[in-house]
Amino acid sequence: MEDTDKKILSFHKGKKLPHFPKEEYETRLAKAKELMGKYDIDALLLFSPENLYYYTGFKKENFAIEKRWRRGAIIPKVGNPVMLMGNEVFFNAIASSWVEDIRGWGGKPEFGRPQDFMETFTKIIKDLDLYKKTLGMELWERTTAIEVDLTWIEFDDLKRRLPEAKIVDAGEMIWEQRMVKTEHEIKIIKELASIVNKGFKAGLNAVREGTSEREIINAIYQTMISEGLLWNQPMWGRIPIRGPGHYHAGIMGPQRTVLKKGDMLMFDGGPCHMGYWSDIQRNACVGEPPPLQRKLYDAALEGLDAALSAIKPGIRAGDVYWAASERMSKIDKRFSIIRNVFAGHGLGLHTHEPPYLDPRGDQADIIIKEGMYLAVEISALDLPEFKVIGGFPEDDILVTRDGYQNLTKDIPRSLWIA
Amino acid sequence: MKEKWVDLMEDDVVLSYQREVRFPRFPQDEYERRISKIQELMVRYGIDALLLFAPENIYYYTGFKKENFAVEKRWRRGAVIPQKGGVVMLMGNEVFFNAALTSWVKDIRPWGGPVELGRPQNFIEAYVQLIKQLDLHHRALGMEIWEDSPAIQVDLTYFEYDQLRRALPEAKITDAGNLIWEQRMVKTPFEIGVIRELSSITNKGFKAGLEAIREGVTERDIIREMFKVMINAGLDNEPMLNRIPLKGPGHYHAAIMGPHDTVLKKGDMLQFDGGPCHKGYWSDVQRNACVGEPPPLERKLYDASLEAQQAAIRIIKPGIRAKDIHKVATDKLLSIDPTIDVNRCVFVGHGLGLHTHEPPYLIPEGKQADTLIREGMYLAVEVSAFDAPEFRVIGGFPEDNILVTKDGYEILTKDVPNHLWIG
Repeated sequence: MEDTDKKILSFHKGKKLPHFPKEEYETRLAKAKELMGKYDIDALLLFSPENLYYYTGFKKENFAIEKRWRRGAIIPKVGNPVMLMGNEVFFNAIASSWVEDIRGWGGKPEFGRPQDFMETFTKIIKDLDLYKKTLGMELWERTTAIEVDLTWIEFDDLKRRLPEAKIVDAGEMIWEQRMVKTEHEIKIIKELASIVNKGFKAGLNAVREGTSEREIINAIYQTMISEGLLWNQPMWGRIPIRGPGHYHAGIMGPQRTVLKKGDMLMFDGGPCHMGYWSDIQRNACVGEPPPLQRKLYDAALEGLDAALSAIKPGIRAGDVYWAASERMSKIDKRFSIIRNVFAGHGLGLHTHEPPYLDPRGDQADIIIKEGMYLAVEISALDLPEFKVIGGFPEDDILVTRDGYQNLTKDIPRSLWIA
Repeated sequence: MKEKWVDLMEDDVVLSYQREVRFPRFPQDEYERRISKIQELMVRYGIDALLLFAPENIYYYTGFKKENFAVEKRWRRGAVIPQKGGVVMLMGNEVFFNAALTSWVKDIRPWGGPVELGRPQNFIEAYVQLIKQLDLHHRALGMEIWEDSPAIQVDLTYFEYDQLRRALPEAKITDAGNLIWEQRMVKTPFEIGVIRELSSITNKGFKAGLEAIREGVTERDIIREMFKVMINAGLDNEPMLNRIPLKGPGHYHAAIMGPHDTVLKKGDMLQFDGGPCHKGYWSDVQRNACVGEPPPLERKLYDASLEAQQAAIRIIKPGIRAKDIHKVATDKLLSIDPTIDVNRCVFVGHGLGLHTHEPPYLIPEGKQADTLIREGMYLAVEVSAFDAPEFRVIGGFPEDNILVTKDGYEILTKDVPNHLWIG
């Protein structure tokens, strides 16, 4: 470590503001190493903010992705992780991450640190004797993609600098671990659910003639912030709303249209709490809905309940989809859930992540395990006219030893009439 | 061109009931001006078409705003802006109808969704086919490569990018970063209107934050208060994306941490940084505060940084270079106190807009340092004076957001008290 950095740290050493306990870090690391054995990977090279958070405890607190902010981690199968952090976040990483070997780069040349991120990162790989080894990267070749704070040209640069390494996709390995939540994660998820339930109830209660979608969303945020939501920094939330004029368009932003009798709404999404997301849907009507709307909503809710009843460890993700589909086609053949690309998805550090409750394909074959955190959502829509908003309830659940726990059942599940 | 897609009966039926740009993000003439400006720049830079995948560029050039945080392949969306001719968008199942309601682009095509809908099922293949249909596959194509400009997030993995360039072997793929930033650095009158709304909300939030400081509250309590006030003031952003880190006891030396649950006591010092996002546009403000009377060193550092920041702002007008602002700030700091470590001023500010940090960067050297300041730029100016290397006190680091006007500047955040706040 450079002299100036050492001086600063000599005044501040020992002070920790961690995002999770040290044992949690060690458990995650040991599991990653075990999976690296299984997948034949000698080291993980990580650049995506969520993977850095999960594996090192360093949480990205801003939205910048400029090259001057670059940060990365190397997690070898044997030996200790190393992080390389840009000037602006180097001290934050030391205060918040459990990784012992954290190195700085960038800032003014006078700070005495290396000035080129990729050159330094490759040098660490060489020093760790990993440059001829199999390196797992966030390529997302066959899995769900998440954002990697690295441009294409930097990927090309890194590959050029490591001609003897075998670069492979680490996506499957990472998701195998992250799909199943740890006890620590489940604790946060339960806090989140309690905040979200209160927020959504406030949202439903705010629906009335004369108000706007925008005002309803504001009521939800005010409630959630009072309930402790702002434990998340940066603040991320996503509660799109679907209302008059956009019944057919998913996840639009809330509009300023003033609601009148006969208007229908769909709430979707949820906030992020300490990095973890919720994702809920409910439908509401201003005044009595037309019979078609009630019929569609009730069918969707029955489909959702059928999907939920199927959930327990050992089934396939696709089984959840087909449980809903089968039940709904019994109600009415036209409720074949053709518009439902999936019946839900995993949740966690992303709003959507594996496993996807797809009808077919790779994801459909994923085995549901205890500790998975899932959003289950089933639609019955008025296709193709969208004269009414239709039904599209969604609940967040935890897979338990014998079945599941519905975390969002406290939000009224019937069609809400305001 | 449309014939290829008419077999998508169901989409056509849905659109026949709903086709109307009913919820635009900006007016049609704003869209047309943005497109004609970029097409003019494409001539100058020798680019035949722009291939866009970054959410902020798609928002800026088409009016479609990404409303979620998903980056899965099944959500992929992209736009093609040819140097001559109309813009074409290729949108995933979940956002196709949204794009039709919000974007002024006439030619919006869907992909993905249930196989029964008969749409193309592979985004990269469909996108390549589109480029071939437009006869652009052997032309100079500008992409978001960010070779020598600040990078922004592109919702396309390296693997997909690699597939795309392999499928277009005759195309000349070049970096479009410089031309995009040349346009986006200078805000349009419409953007300036949004930025003024944002500033008014930000100012209210920061005042509430300062007023919430007292012994016994936590950093998180203060930030909560700020968000509640800003939401009530009309903060209009979905998804809700915000960033107001707070620096406080135990992390004076670490930028942009927290906030934390530490209960504030007499003698503690704070730094506010960041700001909210409104209709896609960001603010970025800093203020320092103390719980009770600060030690003389803190007051000295804060006053020095404020004086240097004010000096830096005063020289802003069209025609100067980004580095001139940096020089005025550091010269002023040294004239006040030669022992202040001006190396800590890595930059003294940056552009703002659809990103919290974007060009121009107010840095002393390098390519960005030579950027000419122009009317319509929206800048954050921030100058630090720290107790380095000890960081026994939090130091001074005021930051204001300004608009470059015809003859000078306007400080948008002047309503947030800028003296060292004592709570």
